[in-house]
Amino acid sequence: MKTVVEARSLSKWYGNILGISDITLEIVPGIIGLLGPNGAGKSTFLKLMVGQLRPNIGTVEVLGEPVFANHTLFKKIGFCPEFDCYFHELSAWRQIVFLARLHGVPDGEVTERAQKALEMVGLLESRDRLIREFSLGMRQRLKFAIAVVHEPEVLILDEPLRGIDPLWRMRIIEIIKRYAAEGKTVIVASHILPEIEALTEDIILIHQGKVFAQGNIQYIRDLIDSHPHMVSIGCEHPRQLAALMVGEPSISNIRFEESEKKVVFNTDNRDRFFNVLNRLIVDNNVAVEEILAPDDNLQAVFDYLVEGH
Amino acid sequence: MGIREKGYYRWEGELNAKGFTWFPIFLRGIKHAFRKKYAKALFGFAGMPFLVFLVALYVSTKPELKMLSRLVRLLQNDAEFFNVFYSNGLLTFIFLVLCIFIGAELISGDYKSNAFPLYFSRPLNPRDYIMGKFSVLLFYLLLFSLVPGVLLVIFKLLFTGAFSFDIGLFGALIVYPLFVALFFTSFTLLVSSLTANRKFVAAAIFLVYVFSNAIAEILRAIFKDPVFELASIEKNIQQTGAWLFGVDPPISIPAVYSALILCLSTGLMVGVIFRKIKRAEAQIENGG
Amino acid sequence: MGRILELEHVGFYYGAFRAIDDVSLHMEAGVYGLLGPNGAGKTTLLKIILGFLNPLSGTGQVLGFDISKDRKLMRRHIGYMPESECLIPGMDAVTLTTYLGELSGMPHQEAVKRAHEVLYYVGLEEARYRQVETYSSGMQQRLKLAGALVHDPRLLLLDEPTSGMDPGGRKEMLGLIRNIAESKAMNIIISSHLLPDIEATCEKVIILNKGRVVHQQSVSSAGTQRYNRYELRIKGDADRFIDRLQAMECRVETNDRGLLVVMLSLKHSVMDLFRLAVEEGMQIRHFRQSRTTLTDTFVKAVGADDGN
Repeated sequence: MKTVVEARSLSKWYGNILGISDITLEIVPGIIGLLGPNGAGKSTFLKLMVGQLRPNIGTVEVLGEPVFANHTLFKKIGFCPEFDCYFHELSAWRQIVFLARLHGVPDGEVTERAQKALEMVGLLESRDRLIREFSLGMRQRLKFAIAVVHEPEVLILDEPLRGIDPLWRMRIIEIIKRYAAEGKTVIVASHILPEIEALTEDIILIHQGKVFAQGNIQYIRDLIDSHPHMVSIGCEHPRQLAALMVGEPSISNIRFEESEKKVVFNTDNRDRFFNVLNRLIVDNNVAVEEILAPDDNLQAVFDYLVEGH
Repeated sequence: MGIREKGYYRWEGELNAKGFTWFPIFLRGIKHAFRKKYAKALFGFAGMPFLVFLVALYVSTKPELKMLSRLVRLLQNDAEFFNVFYSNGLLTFIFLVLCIFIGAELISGDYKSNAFPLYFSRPLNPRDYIMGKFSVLLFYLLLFSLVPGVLLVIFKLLFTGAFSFDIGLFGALIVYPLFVALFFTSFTLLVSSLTANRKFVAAAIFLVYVFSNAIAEILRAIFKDPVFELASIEKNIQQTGAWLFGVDPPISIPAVYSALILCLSTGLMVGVIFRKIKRAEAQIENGG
Repeated sequence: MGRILELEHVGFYYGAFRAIDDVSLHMEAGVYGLLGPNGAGKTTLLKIILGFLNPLSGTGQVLGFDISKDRKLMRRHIGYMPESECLIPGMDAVTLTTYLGELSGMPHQEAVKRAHEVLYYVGLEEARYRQVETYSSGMQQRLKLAGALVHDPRLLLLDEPTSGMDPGGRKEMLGLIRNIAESKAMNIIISSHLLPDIEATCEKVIILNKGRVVHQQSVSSAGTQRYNRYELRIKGDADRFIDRLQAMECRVETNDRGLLVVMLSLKHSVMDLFRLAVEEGMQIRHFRQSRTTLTDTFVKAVGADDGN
């Protein structure tokens, strides 16, 4: 798999204020989620990747070349920044055509590509209206269209779904997935973890200017030994089930949620645990209503990694 | 007793009776202005006309002192005295400075930091908001005009034991500063409601005032007709003062015209302010 | 107690554009989510409920106040948390929150006491003496909530309450909202585009589209359980498992969260699923009766309306 973005000992600070410190990582094609608390260095890292900031120490290369002020490389990168950044007195059409040209779309193709991009985000009918009249959701969709109009190889999105209604949220998530399926690289930074979960299982967590975790969510979750996995089982007789399971050594903790008829196990060896559980259910004919893993999600991974820091 | 439960608690108190919703705006605004940098210096400066006239008053009772003789001659006529006190150039200038210092950011600041959703989600409407803001600036303007005026009356009584008590004069003494203060307040708040930029508001207030004088002069010079002097805000104020106190006006035009001009423009300005604030209220949360 | 909110055939238009078109709504006590595509009329509806706009047709009452005649008064008992960034700079959080309480009609001393209490609640206790212009966006969000709670309203209106907050802040904010709703029986309306937020806090949802109410139900009934349909995650050879299931005349699909959805045929039971898994040496790690998600409900309500 070729490396699309590579950072080596990348550090950036603003006077006394730390941006990021000594980050080394590689990003390959696909969708990757970038998350982190406020002030952690996420935006700094994004801006470094997009070539808006120059590193203090280290390098960041996109598609094999250093990216800072590298104008030819910008044509292959699409960036959807977090905040508003338009000429409000232009119409959507003129804005996207202007930026398409700026990003190197050949003259003959500009109209077609711009139309395609606007249609994809549902703004084709509004193309001649001034951006000043656009609602927040429409502006956000326009930003997205502008980021993809030149079909970049690397797409970097900072909170791309802000202010967008649930219907368009779904559609844009589909668009992003299709885009990545074509072999492109999409890096999505977001505070809204369910959104990242809907897009991908691969994440980078930045905190205190460093990379706290990188990789598949499940894999990362397994690595967090300080928090054994929780398995919540809803059944008619939770205590009976617990009694049956209590001898199993891979269980470190059993807790009851009486009001909801649930028993929650903590285990540090999911393989063993589930083998035993499944077998036990069959052998004893246990009427199970649900089996859930309440901390096998991105919010839990985030909390466990960031807590106490 | 046990342990205090965690979480949200309800409030068992009672809200005030309805009415006077604008009062907290008034109090907070007064405090805020008082705490600004240089506020106390400015207020000291603003008290100077009062001190000057107080001294003159005292001196007038001691004819052996020959200082301020011209002012002392003035003092024989109460109407003249108070007219000059209220409409003298220094006091008007002080008004201007107070308006800029306190009033410029009263509304423009709320635009800048988008305070309107916070205000209007309370039980107040544009009328309350405007009354609250008005009262802040009015308070300070009257503090340095009406209040000293009344104090001067008291001191006159104390020093000389005589005051040509005339209901018309006493009325003028109260109405005039009120009228002028209202005019200045509407003017300041109008400009303040036009933009979010406080410095722009300050500059605009100052410039408009100075320009009006300049334009009046120029037009007067060109057309030689005294009516053009009415383009000057300052002149209108002096004319009105003369009319209320029953003394000779500085320009040879019936002084009542000035009063009307100021009255009408105040009304107009207040109308525009209302329109702007109503629009701010309706525009809350236009995210859709 | 009476209904929190009643709207009968309320309409509002800007010129020819009907922002709200014949909306009739009844809200009992509880926590409601207000959803809808952009331009559906959510903002206009919120403004009518807050008394900023006088409806051009129809009648209604909010907390017993008439929505045309008592527009200012009803805000004594409503707390509003706006979406946009809004501040009154030049004061610290305690002063600002006290000020807002006073503007709602609280006596000064009460307002001060309550301001502290409410700032503790939203987690700003250490920062409460700092000037508010120094606050980060997450802190400003909490400050807005404090301002909405200081006068202990009977109805709380929250507009995108987690906007701008990082994952930790978001989790805390949702926790605060849940706590208010559950323990103290506050009535809340949350307007948001984030369905996970709504699912985490609301009992009922109202969906607007094109100025009309297209759906009004409880969240859990939105999640109607579908008979004989189960969602599973298994570890092991998924393809073999699916083949065996299909051989047993059970239909299998993959849903958008990567889970298998199995429709059991009438001959088979849940236990058969587990037996099959054990036989094939697989582990069932996630198992639940499949339910319609809020997303499904939303898409259906709005999509159907659009004629999609």
